[in-house]
Order: sequence, then C-alpha cells, then structure tokens
Amino acid sequence: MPWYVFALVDRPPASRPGRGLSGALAARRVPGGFAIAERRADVPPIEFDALRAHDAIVTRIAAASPAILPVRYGTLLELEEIEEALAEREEEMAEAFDAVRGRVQFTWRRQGAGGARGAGAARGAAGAAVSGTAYLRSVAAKSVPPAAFRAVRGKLRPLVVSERYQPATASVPASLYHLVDRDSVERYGLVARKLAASTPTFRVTGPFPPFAFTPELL
Amino acid sequence: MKRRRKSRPQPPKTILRSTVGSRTTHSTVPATRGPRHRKPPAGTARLVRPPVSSPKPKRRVARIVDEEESSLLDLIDNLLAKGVMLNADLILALANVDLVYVRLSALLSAADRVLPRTGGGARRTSSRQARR
Repeated sequence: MPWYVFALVDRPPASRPGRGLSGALAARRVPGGFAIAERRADVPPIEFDALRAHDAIVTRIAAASPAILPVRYGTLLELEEIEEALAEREEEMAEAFDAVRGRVQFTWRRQGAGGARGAGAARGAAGAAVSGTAYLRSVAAKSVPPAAFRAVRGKLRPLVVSERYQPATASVPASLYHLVDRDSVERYGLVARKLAASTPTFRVTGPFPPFAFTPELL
Repeated sequence: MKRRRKSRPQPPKTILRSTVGSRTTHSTVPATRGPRHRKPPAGTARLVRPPVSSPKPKRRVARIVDEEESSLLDLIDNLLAKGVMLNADLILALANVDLVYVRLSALLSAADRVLPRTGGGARRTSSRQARR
C-alpha cells in the first residue's frame, strides 16, 4: 500500500506522530530527512472536512518539528517513488529546512482587490504576452508587492525574516506572506493586530506552517 | 426524593454605611447585616470587591483573526494553491479481457504556481514534475 505524505521534516518527532486521516502516522527515513506519512490506498477527497483534517495534522507536525516542509495535498506515493524524487537533493532540502527552521508563516490579504477583478488586472498588465506560457511567466514575474502593502511591510520589516508576494488569482486575493521567527510571533501578532485594525482593507491570518516558503519537492 | 432548594440571593459582600444619612435607632435589621431582599436604601454606597485572582490575559497569539473568516480561504491557499496530485488506475478491456492498464499520476495545478520563477527566487522543478 502506498504512503500518503503530509510533510517532510529534518528529524523525526520526539514523540509519536499520532494519527493521520485514517491510520497511524509514521516517520519514514528518506534522502535528506524524514517523511511523515500514513499508509493509505487512495487520495482523500477534496472536501472541506478532509482539507481541514489534513491542515490540522500538518499543523500538529509543525508544532513538534522545528523544521517542516509541508507537502502538496494528495501526495500518495510508494516509498521507492519518494526516495527516487528526493534522491541527490539533500543539499536543496537542507537549504529549505534551514530557511524555515523555527519559523512560522503569516498571511496578509488585501480585501476587495482579489478574485476575478485582481486576476483581470494582472491579465491586463500582461496583455502583451502572446502565449499562455509567456503570459503566466509574465504574471509570475510581477511578484513585487504593490504600494498598498507599503505600510504593512514597513512596520513589520524588523520582525520578518523572509517575504513573498502572490498576485491575485481568480480564487485567492493578493497575498503577502511573511516568514517570522517563533520567538517573534507574539510581537508580530501585536503589531499586526494594530495594523489590521487601522487598515480595514487588509486581513492577516496565522501563524501557519511555512506553506508559502516550501519548495515543491515531491 | 429530595427537592433542591432554590438558592437565595445573597447579600452584597460589603456594604458601606452612608455618611449622609443614619439609620433609625429602632430598626429591626441588625446593624452588621445588610437587607436580604430589599434593595439597599438610597444613599447607601455599594463596594464591589474585585475578584481575588483575575485571570491573566492571554499572552500567546494563536490565531489573530476569527477562524470563520479565514479558515476556508487559508485552507484553499495553503493546501490547494500548489495543486493536487491525481492518481488513477485505468483498465481498458474488451469482452472481459483486460487489454491495457494505465496508471495515471498527474498534478493538477495553476501553471504559474509550478513554473520556475523568472525573478531572483528561482525554484527548481523536481524530476517528477519534469516527467509529467
């Protein structure tokens, strides 16, 4: 039976990983770290309850592991396939673990600038692109946060280790992701709460495992 | 069967005697006890004692916005933004004879989420993704 993978960690959790979606979680040694996975025959459905359960499990693993790389939802692989995918990528994994070790993610979203409207604006900006690939590349290249995020970025800069901006898509509004040390979470939360209260067009959520700062390894 | 007694309203913890007026000397109410069922007379100051141990304010920042407002969007963004893996087994058969077996393992995702970035933050595409 294949393994349904939730996350990669650099070292196995000190205590038992607990239960997964339907069975016990196990820490399987893979090149460059450990895969936290459970035996499962099929991919869980893309439903709210399953997504929420998956998210809760990843959050629990993150609380017990200093460095975690969450894996794409629905990753169901044989152990040999996981080993093959991660073979000779220890250095890349080590860099990824170092980047997120002891850190969490906060997400800022700009209300009213997302959805189809935001995506439409991005489409207009990339209107010169002739092919789909060129268009997507041009949209991806526009990963600089707009001026509207200036106040948020300026106030929180001392507490932010890394930052990533995702332009609006059809389903998700423009998002700014901050990677924050766990030691700074309390201070970040206090400043963020004040900022969110003074700028009602912005919403902040978190802390989360570092989903937005994780390379796609599997 | 015992019937539970209704608890009677208790007198206030502390009653400060008013300095404005004074009780009549023939009152049947003991001076040390406050009235049980009547409201305190006008001019009687009432001191509310603060709780002995006030709960400490929450120091930990767990979720800094309401769950209801964020959960669905965050779930979609965190879990589905990078796409989902689709696995399937396909068997083409003719007259109950299995002829072709196809094992599908596909990634469904927005292309801009998995394409290598053209800017500074270049990401390597995994060998699995390259094969798909």
